[in-house]
Amino acid sequence: MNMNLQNDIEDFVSDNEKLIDKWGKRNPRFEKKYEDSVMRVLSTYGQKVTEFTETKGKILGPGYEPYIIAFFIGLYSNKRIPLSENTDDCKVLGQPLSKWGHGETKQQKNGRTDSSLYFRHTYPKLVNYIFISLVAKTDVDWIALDKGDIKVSSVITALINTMEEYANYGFSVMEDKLHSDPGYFFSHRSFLDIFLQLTNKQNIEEEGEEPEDL
Amino acid sequence: MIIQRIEINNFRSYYGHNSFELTNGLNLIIGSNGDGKTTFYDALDWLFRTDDTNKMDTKYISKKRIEELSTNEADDVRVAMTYEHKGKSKILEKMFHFTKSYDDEVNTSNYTFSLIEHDGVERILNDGRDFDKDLPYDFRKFIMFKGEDDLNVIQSSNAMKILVDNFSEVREFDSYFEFTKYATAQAEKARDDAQRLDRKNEAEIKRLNQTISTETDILSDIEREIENKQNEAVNFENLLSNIKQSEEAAKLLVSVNGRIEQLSKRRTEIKGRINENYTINLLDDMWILLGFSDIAEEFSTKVSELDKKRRKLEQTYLFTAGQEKAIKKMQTDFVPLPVYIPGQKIMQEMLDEEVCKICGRPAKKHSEAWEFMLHRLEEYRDSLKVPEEEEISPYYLNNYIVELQKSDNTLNDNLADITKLRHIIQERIALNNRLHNDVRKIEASLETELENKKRILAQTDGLSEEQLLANFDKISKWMDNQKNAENRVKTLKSKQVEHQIILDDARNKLSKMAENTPAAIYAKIATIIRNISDAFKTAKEDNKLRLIHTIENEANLFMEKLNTNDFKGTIRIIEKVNGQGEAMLINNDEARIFNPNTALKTTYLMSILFAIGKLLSEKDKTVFPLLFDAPTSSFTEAKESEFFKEISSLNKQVIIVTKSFLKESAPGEVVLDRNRLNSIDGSIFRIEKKKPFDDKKLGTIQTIISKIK
Amino acid sequence: MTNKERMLQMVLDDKRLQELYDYDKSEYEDFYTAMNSSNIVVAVVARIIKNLNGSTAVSDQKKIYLTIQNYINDNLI
Repeated sequence: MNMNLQNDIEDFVSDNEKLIDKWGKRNPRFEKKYEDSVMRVLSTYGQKVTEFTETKGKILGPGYEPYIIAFFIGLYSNKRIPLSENTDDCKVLGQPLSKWGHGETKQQKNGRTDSSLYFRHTYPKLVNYIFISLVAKTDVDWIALDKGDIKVSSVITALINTMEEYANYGFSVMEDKLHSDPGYFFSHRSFLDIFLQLTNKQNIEEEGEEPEDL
Repeated sequence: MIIQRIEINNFRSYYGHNSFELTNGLNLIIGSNGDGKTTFYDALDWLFRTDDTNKMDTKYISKKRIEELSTNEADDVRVAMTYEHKGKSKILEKMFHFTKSYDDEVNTSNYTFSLIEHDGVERILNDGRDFDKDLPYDFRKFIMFKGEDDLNVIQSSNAMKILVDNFSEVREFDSYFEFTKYATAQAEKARDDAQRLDRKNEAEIKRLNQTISTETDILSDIEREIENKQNEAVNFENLLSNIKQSEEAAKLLVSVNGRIEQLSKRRTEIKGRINENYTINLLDDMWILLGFSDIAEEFSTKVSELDKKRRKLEQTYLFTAGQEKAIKKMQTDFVPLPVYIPGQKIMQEMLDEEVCKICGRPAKKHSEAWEFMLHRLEEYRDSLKVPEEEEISPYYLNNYIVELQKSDNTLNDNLADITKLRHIIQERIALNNRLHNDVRKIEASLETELENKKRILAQTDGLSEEQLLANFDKISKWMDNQKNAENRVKTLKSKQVEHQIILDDARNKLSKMAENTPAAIYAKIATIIRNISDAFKTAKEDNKLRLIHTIENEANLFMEKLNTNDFKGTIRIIEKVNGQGEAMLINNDEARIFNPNTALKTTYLMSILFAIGKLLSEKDKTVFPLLFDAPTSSFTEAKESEFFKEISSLNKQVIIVTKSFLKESAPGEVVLDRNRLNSIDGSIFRIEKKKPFDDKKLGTIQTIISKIK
Repeated sequence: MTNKERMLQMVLDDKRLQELYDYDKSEYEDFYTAMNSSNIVVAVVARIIKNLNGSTAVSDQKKIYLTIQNYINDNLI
């Protein structure tokens, strides 16, 4: 019986904290090259608070939104691309995961909210599902974690890694599409169609099993 | 009168000598705007003027000729018409001289206006004003028409009067009215004078005369007011008839506008329901989870496996640890009760009862035997006690897997919602499609209604939508006004009758009083003359009506010929209270057709003119030509060809100046449509500006005449 | 038919006049007949029409008036 008491101070101090909450404190990374080619094109990422009018042209709101989409593209395609090993190529998203979907973005100095949030509401539960998918798709010795044999932070890092790699794939897909057809994502169906297509393969398999006639 | 030749020299664009050799039948003079059509008409107008106005004017002179002239050189402006009338061949000629002076000024002189008759070998020179004998001034109104607007001659202010005066069977009614008025006055004066001698009935006679005087005045006032009110009614009727043409259109417009508004509202409402922010839905409504089922399953499987494994490991650990502990325990101070010692219970009893149950001896409390038993019991109990455990250290430090398990439970609770997502999405897409379809259908209907609206507005003679709708409002107001005026007239007329009765009564009484007196005869004479006067009045009215019916009938005959396959109506001419005439079409139900299309209107107006022309001919025992300036601009090509064909079969000289039968061969270039012209029977002339020309430089403008047929 | 004859016809065709003075068409077939008609009204109308000639001169009016006044006077018994 190995009682590893050499936990990190964090783990020790926030002992009662859930895993998901610990995970929620992190900020995933993405490759810088997608900043201009995808993030700024589709969302209000990188915009100053005063650029009120610009927000009207963007399909998505804050920067994490394209990230979420990229992630799910990768997830459903079941394809990952590791991030560049060169840390200079990578950048961190401003908002920690726990804040994603809470709608607390870019409060303007004069108190007005981002216009892209008009007609929108929050979706704070989505990150829970992201977390679940990461758990499903990441190889972790959970037993060891519970036993205290491995650090929580390392597990979380592994989960984040999975997320980043799926998103990385997703970004490359999005970049390609934008490249070949710059107006592609401005159709309101474009993203939906991508996901309908991706998830259709599953459906086809399901639908292939017809109930037997009695 | 048949026109044989028209010569136009140096009259405006007709530079130099130009002549038209005309036939007794259809003559077409074809030219585009600016080619000289209007000038042709103006030249004839100038020629026919017999009232000494506009004799000479430099504005009539061809600019090109002026520019050509060198100093002190001279030439003439001359317009002449060679015609045959009542067996005689004549030339009407008007001309004047013009010269250019030193300072490039143009001077005119030597105006002459002559009517030259050829009687055999003789040449008789008369004043041009004698032309009035051949073509009276009044007739010209019914012979020459500058444009389509001129065609409605009947409506011009004294047309009816001219027609009646000239063409009704009886003329000079007026002098008879004057006479009978005079005669009546005379007779009545004589009667009054005679009656004055009747002393006996002086008072009564005076009273009757007073009554007659008063009533006559009253009747006169009534008559005046009737006339005023009738005029008022006519005015409103005129206003209304203009508007009524558009009433139908306005009604339609109002309902079309209503439908358009409704459709627009519906469209907005439906569009508002379309919610296609799918990208937003992906996030806000978590549609992005539509493929999550498999992953959820993976997670569940993984987690339950982990959970199982976790528990198993823990159990194993605890089991092992427990066993070890048990063994350890066994190896320590467990002291079993010796066989010979009774069980715990017995021992306790013995202590309590203070007796040893084995040997039966009493063991008093605190005696040695009792203490021994107690001691043994306590030892035994101690040995049974589990020492305060060294707790088995927990197998797991963390409960993350438990957390995952809890997540899994939550996930399972929500799984149903996730599997429904695909369906929800498809339903939304389908709904939006339906809504889009609905919008499309509405927009198609809107298109139709807008087309309808356009069509309505296109047929309202240039009225704008605002005017149309404003007119619509006016209609009820004006109708009220008209009705009021008409009602007033009715009231007045019955009053008129009343007062007339009183008047007649007074007159009769007066006459009766005159009986057996010398005044009797004068009374009788007065009555006779009065009755004769009334008969003249009636005759005049009948006369007028007869004329109008004659014109109507003739016009309808012409209309039949000219209008062959199209919609027909009957032409009706009425005389309005103010003496103006009005021509209209009525349909089989005696209802007025308010908005005939322009071509139809032109046709019936021309039919009337042909009818009047026939009247002229019959009256004067001679024919007269008709001169039209492009009355067919609103006709279709087919209708036009038909129209001209009919006219050429009328056996009447008609001269038509027109821009029909021209087609565009290249942008800005027009040529004659010879194909269509082939089927026309008659003389055809083309007039056009000689090229090259510069519209800004009048000196380059010259009309060239070419005879085509 | 001359203008005058036409006028004669038109006036004497008046129904009311015919009724009042009891005459018919045969009385005014032509001018000659009308002038010599035994019916005073017919004869008077004929005289008016024959003599007036479209004149509006008072002297002519006076003359004709006197003519018919005398005629009526003479023939009205």
